[in-house]
Amino acid sequence: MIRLRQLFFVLCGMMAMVSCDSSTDDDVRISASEYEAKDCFNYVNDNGTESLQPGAYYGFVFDYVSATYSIVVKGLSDGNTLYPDFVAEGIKWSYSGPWKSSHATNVRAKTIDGSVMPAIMELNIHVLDRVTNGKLDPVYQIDMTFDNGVTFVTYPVQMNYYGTTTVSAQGVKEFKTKESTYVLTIDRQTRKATVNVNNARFAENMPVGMNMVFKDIDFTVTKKTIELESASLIPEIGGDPYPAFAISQLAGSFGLSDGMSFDFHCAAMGSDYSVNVEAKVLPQLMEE
Amino acid sequence: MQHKPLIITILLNFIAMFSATVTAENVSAEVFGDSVVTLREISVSGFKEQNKLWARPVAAIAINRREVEQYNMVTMKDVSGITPNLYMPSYGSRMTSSIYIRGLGARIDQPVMGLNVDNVPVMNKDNFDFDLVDIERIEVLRGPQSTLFGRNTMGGVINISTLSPLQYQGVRMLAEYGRGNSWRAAVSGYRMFGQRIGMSLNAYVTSTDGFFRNSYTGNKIDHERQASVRWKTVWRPAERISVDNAFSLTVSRQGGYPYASLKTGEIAHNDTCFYRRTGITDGLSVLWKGDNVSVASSTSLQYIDDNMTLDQDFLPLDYFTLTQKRKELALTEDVIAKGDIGNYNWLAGLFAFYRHTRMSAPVTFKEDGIDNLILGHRNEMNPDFPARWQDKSFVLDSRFRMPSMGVAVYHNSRLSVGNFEINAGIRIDHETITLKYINHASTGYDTYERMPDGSYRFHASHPLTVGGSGKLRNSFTEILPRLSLAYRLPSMEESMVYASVSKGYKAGGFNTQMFSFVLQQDLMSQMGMSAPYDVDEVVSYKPEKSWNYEVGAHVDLLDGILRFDGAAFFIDCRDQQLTVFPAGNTTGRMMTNAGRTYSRGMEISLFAKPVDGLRLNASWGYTRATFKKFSDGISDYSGKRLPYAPSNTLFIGASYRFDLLPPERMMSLTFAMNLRGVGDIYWDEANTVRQPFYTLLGASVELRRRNWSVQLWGENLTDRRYDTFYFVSVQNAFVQRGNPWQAGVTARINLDLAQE
Repeated sequence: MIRLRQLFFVLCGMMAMVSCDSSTDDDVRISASEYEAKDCFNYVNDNGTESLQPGAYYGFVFDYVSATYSIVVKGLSDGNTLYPDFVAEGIKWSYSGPWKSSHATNVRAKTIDGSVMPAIMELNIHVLDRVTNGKLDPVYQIDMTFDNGVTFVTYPVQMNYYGTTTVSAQGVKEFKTKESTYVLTIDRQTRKATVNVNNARFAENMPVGMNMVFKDIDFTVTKKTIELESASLIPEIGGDPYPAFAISQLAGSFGLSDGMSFDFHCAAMGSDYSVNVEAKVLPQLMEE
Repeated sequence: MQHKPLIITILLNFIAMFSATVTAENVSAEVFGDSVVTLREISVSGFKEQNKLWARPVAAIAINRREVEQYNMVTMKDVSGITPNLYMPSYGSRMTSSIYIRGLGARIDQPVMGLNVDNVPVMNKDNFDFDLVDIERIEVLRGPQSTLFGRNTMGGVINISTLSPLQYQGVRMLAEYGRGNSWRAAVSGYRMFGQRIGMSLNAYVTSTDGFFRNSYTGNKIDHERQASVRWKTVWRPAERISVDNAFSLTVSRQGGYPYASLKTGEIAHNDTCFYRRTGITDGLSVLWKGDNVSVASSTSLQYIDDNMTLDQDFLPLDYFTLTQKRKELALTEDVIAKGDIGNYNWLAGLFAFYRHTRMSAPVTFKEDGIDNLILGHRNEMNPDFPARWQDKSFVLDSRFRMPSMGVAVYHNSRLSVGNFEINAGIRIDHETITLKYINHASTGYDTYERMPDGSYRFHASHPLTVGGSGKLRNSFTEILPRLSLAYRLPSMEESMVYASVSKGYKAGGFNTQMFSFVLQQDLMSQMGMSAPYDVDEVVSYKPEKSWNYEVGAHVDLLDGILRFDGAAFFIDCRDQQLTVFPAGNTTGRMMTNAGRTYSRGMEISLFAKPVDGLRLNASWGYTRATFKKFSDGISDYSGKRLPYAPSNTLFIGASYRFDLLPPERMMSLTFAMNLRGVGDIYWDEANTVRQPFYTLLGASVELRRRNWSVQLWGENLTDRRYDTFYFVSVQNAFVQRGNPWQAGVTARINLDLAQE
């Protein structure tokens, strides 16, 4: 016969087992993501002095119930000073379209090793949970300003855009396509940008699928966009220069939450084609 | 010829084995072919039909042994032209067995009609074209037969029965010689061993030097050698049980592919073209016949080992070649039960199959192909940095395994109420097909910079490696109903009018010929000049389905002196499988599913024997098959005629037999003529190229004695020029010309075995 004391412990054990099994509800209220340092770079404005620095590590945890998030930053450097790793918690966020957005001032952060760090005067983030080829491929836009006058703006090393390419040429009917996609890649060390134009088409009768690469483009970085400019360049196709498709008057403004606007001329096979691109980082955003 | 001694030895052994008791005194007369020979044993294909052919609500034609010999029919393609609205053009090689019926059909992969030979459902259309000797009967059933015969019988079924030892005992020999150094020889022995078991064995060889010459090599291109052996066993272990087994082995070797350039009119290939095939088939049928219920089982094993090697550009240039090697094994099992309760007849069946194909299909890109199809376009776009290929040729290698399996259950009910007959049937058919592929290509090119002084400096080397492996799988489940209402005309035996509606189905699958196209696109993509293709999208094609609405009549007048068969039909076909050639500088054929097509038409067959010895045959088929909705993304073809399907087929035949001696002494002279017509045939979806209607005249004179006959025959006696096939590849148009006039002599000897 089971004694009462034994029965009590059995019942406690059963309750413990049941409570351990019912934990999954918490998972759907929280999502965590990481932004690796190798995937981004920082534009630094140190009291008017600009530089491009390696990316830092950012770890996000979003709470969908309290609408707050926490952020861990590791390896942040302004080129002179390596900032201590720190964490900030309980920051309010909300949806702005498909983006998780937050604008916070006087953010309370604490260093992980207990050391002293400048105070965060302003912290802005926009995070897009994009899915590419069945995998989660988030887009991050982060900028923070410290009380020492240093501003960090974080950009991805590579940004993909989907949108409408409009081509016009003299004597030819205007041509529009949504099949072309654009990839901007930033080389922080050479301070040159590369634009890959996939499935490039400039005319109705042009076969789909020329992959053109515009290399060594000068760029400047602002808080919201990367600005590209080039008077002329020779594109590459399949790793070879194609002088017959010379590019000129290239100018582009590549943002994240604001999208991209890109213009250039292409002297394709002796004709001058004027190309304008309006695109977003997510194909569906172009439908809005 | 080195095989002559062997052939003679086989001939003598046959005669010795099967004609031991043949004597001049006790030879019995062969039945002359004025009437259809009725099989004493029941074939499984015949077992599925619950009525005689003319008593069924279906458009059909039957060709008996006499007509088979008169029209010199040896393959299923020979029924084309005799059967209204059926067109099976002869082109390419034995592998190309395209069938078009009532506007339905496709050139590759799944056929629109089924073929059964001695109970064996031939699973692969590429194996449809082979010679048969001692054909006893050919039945062509038009309209969907999917309820009873399942997959790939959307346009109908062709049933071929060969002579059985239960019907005939003796020795039969055939020798034929004709134009083009074409000859055939066959020897067959049929014998009963006791009361219950009979066997037949026949051997056949044929050879032709062909009719078309390759102007590049100076040699004939469509030569062929074929040999086959068939062994049939029929066994009646008990009164109600019959067991039939038919084994055949066929070996063929041919040149083939006599495609002429439309521009020059010449056949000129510089690379080898040939087709070789070895086929083994065995079909075992077991039938148990009860008082009210009968059960039959039909099991078959089919094996093909073939090799198609092509100069794939068909030009005297080095573009590309293809060598497709395949080994395929198929197993089928069909179990059928049928019975009757008063005026109600029922049939139920279970069918299953398994097929495994292993294939390799490497395409070799050669110098001209590389220069014109890859580098030409690229260097035109970039004359400042021209490219030169590192190799004179490279291989786009593809290997496949395709296991497929299917299972079906089916039922048919027939109820007779007075002169009315209602048929209702249904089939549930499920099939799964898998494609496992591995493909690979490794090559490269160098680019050079053009200097101001006109010289070139090496710029960069670009290695190219493409390929991969994968697996695709598709499953299809279809419900295939059929309903018909027939009214038997009073006082007219085997005469009826009928209306029917039925659903047809042609299986989906994978077009492996497109893999070289996929690899080529991958290469171009790595060169920055193209986008890679989605394999599943390019290679897969969906099933084709149709609803067939038909009214018809079989009318037998004046006690069989005059027979009329007519039918009118409307077919609503969805996702019709069409073969298109991909746009641009590539080869290969892509299967696509058209939006929707409508096909309507009519068929008339007449048979008359007004006086003894005179027989008149005529048949005419008309089809108007158009795209209801079809766009390939570039052009809209709605309203255009379907390509490759003729709008008219015509056959007129007449024969008259003079008895030179009294009938009991059996000596006759038969004169026969026939006219076959086909056309118009549009060759492309845009209907810009066509073959107009044409006719071919044939004739024969046969002297027949008790146990031998000699026939002089001619085909296409006016030497009409016509085309049987047209296609465009790599922006060049090609045609295959129809065979020129032919003439020959055929001798037959039939030594009937005495009754023991």
